[in-house]
Amino acid sequence: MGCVQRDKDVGSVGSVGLDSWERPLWRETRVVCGVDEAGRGPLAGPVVAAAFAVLSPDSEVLELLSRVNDSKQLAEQQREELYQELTDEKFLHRTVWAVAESSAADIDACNILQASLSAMARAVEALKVPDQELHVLVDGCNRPPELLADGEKWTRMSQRDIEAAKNQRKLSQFFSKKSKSEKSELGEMETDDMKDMKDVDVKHVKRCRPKKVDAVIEGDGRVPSISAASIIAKVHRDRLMEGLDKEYPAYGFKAHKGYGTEAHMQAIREHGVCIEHRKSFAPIRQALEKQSDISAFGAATNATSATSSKPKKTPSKGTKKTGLKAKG
Amino acid sequence: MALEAHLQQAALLKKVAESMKDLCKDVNFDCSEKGIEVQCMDSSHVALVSLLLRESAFSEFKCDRPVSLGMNIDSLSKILKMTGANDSLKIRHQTDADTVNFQCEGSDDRIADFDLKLMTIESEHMEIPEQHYKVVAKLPSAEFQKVCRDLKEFGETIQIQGTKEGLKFMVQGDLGSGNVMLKPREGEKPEEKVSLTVHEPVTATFALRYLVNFSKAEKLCGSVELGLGPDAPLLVKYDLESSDKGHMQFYLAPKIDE
Repeated sequence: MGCVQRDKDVGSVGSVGLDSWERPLWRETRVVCGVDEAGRGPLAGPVVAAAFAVLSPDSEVLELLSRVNDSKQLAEQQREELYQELTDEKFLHRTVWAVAESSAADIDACNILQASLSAMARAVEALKVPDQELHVLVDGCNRPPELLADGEKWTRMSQRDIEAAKNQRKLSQFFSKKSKSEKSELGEMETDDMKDMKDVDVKHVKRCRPKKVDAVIEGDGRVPSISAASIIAKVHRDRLMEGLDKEYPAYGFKAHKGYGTEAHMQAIREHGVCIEHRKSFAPIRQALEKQSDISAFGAATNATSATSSKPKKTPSKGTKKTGLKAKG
Repeated sequence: MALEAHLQQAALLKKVAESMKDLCKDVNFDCSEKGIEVQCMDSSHVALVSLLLRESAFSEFKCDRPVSLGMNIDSLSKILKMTGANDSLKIRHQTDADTVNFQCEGSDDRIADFDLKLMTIESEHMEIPEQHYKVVAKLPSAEFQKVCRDLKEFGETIQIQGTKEGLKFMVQGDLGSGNVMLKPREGEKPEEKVSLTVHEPVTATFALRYLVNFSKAEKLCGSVELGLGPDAPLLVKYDLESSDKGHMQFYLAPKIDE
């Protein structure tokens, strides 16, 4: 498994559409799920991931999938219309989709790549499709680590890595794992830490482990299920940003969706940053540094800062909880 | 004191750490009255390192109760780099302490002392069943390293064939294909010999990059033992200077033959 699907007839480099991806895979796996994210680049707001899968490929579903494309290639109006169709109740039990978010705080806590992959994994888990029936196709060149078996490489594989990994078997096929009692042959007492580890193990077993996970470079324009996911993620995020625009009208989130446009940067210069800004991103970090310099200077000169230019909502809002929305 | 161990030659542990560091990052050193043991798999779960540093390898060894000391191998290597060629090493760990102390002493009365913070490492131990290899080969460890390094230039996959005629290492790549054959031979010193015990001929395929990593343990011992079986992991075993001090064993899962 690598960045490009390497099965004999499936998804060779440059191949596009249902005939190249979903149809051949449906013969092997019952459910093929496309996953994409929206909002990796903006300076504010969450990154949103969506997962979309066809459960019953009838003519109406296939016709819809024949019209989807990379969300970036579609006009806002087209995206909205396709979003309405993709999430329409009439497709209940014929398609399944889910979205998951990683907040700005989540992004700052790890990094944008990990936060995006984590949201992708949660979106797939929220589909509630049995693991063994699921083949996940992820846009990009990395695969969400949470969906992979222990020891599987999630980052991009070089040609040499792919060659080295080809036909490679794992040691677990030859050696079995030692049981806890055998592991304790050193005579160690079971500590609280070990009890905690057992709990972790139990959670571990419950994790979603799809039958197969493949990363597809430029998958959002090539694999219809990923295109569908890209549209859902993009529209869902745009709506979230419109909601944030109401909470923080000073920044114009509705217009630029958190991207680093001149208007956005100007608003940050005027009003400072809010809780929805990604403080680990360089322009926001620099803005914060300037803010603290000004505050320090202000304190030194005993000047009082003006409060009239503060945004309507002050950054008192707590960390936004990661949201999940699933529909099936 | 949970552990107090004196090693006459710090270089031995230094070589052990160097041999492991390309395959393992964070490992548990399981200390007991038997000595110090390590078992860890590489991140892709294709290779496994199994170390036994017997208590007899130490000039003094006292372990009151079994304890696992979780360490980062790179950090351990950095500490051991402070040791000179003939320095001795004392390893100490107090019961329930969150550090392990390394003290190396040279003949010039220079004493270097370092407390390494311990880590809690969740590791899986594998049950390695007793293996009955169809082919067991012993060869000079420097020669094994040269073969691996030379053939790595041509391809990522190596086929090893053990027959009564000898041990053949075969590689195929974009440039073409080639092989190196080592025939059984006698030598004055054990580390000059190539010997083979063949119960039945075996050919198996492996990822060469792991063998290159394993062969870096060449400094541990003049000879290396390879164990091959049909549809079984390859064993690459180095004694720690001599078998009474312990051994470093590497296991490598085979590839599926095309």
